[in-house]
Amino acid sequence: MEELSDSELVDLFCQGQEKAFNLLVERYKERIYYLALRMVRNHQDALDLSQEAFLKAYKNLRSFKRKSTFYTWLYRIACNTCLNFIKREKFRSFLSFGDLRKPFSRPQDSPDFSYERDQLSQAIDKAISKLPPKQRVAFVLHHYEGLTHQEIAELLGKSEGTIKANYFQAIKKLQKILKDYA
Amino acid sequence: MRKKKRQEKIVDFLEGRIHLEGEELKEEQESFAALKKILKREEDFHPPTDFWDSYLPNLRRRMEKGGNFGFVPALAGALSLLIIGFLLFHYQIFSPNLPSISGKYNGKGTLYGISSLTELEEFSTSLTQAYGLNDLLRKATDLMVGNLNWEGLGEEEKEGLFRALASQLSEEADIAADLLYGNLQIDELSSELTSKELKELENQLKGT
Repeated sequence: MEELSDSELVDLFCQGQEKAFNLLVERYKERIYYLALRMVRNHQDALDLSQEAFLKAYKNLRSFKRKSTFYTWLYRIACNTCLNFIKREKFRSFLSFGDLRKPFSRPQDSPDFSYERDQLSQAIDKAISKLPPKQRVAFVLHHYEGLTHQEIAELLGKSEGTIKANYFQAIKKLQKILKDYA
Repeated sequence: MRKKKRQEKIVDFLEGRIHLEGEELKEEQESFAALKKILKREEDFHPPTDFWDSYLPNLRRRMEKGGNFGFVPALAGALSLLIIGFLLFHYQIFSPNLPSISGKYNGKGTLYGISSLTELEEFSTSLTQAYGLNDLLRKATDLMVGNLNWEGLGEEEKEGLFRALASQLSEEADIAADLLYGNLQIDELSSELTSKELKELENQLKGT
């Protein structure tokens, strides 16, 4: 079964072989986890979000219309799941006036996975967390995920120009915030 | 539009797709190179190797949990909505004259009845009073129009705060934020407003 293509695994799943979905998870879990990690800059949240994306895919796979590849479809679900999370978190941090100086609430990593990050990594985390959702997505998908502006535009249903403008504003802000590390 | 086009062009230039000349662009290029250098120095995080062993079992547990309890919360949610709806209706907490959030936006970029920050402010105030929202909307609007100045709050934080609220409350406020912070140019809106009115709106938004 492991040698089957994504499309064949989706077929098997739709025919009732649920194990086919496990193989799809095995195939893409790392890529989806790292996408989420780049977006939310927090291990525990990235873990939850990547699993949430797979859960959504699992629930909706039978209605997957196959206008794109399975991975593109899954990737879009993961991006939107992360985007919604970022928006929710921004709103939550707004509600908590005590956290006004921290524009993005950052729950503690689980002790099992706590890791020492150097000062620069933490500064980059903080800087990226300060970007508004649209700018953050445009930046992360282009810089870390290597997607072209055109691909991001198609993924998010925006114009390429808008994505480039969002990316431009993101790099301007990051330059300003991280200038001390140059 | 000119600003957005310029930003697009600079991105193309920075990424080597087009060639442009100018001292200002040289500085852009240097800052961009410096940023890339900083980001390259970032340490990559890798979860412990045994992390992936528990990934699928955990996911399976979540799938099963979702399957077993799907109907109960749906039923509980529907009943709660019915009860809340009845209470609101019975005690006349809502009335037909209250402002509508969705009614202000047609989903195609057209803003109905809101053409300036003053109107946005009035709309926010009426929403705050009508729906008994807490002070958040009021404060965000005050912050946006400059009535409130939280000491030590940077521009980016203000933008983040306003956006967080705008995205929760209304599409038009989100569009206003996009316009205000240059993510969207006024002529991208397929608006029913005349170009003169649009220009005025843009000037008002930029003037705050």
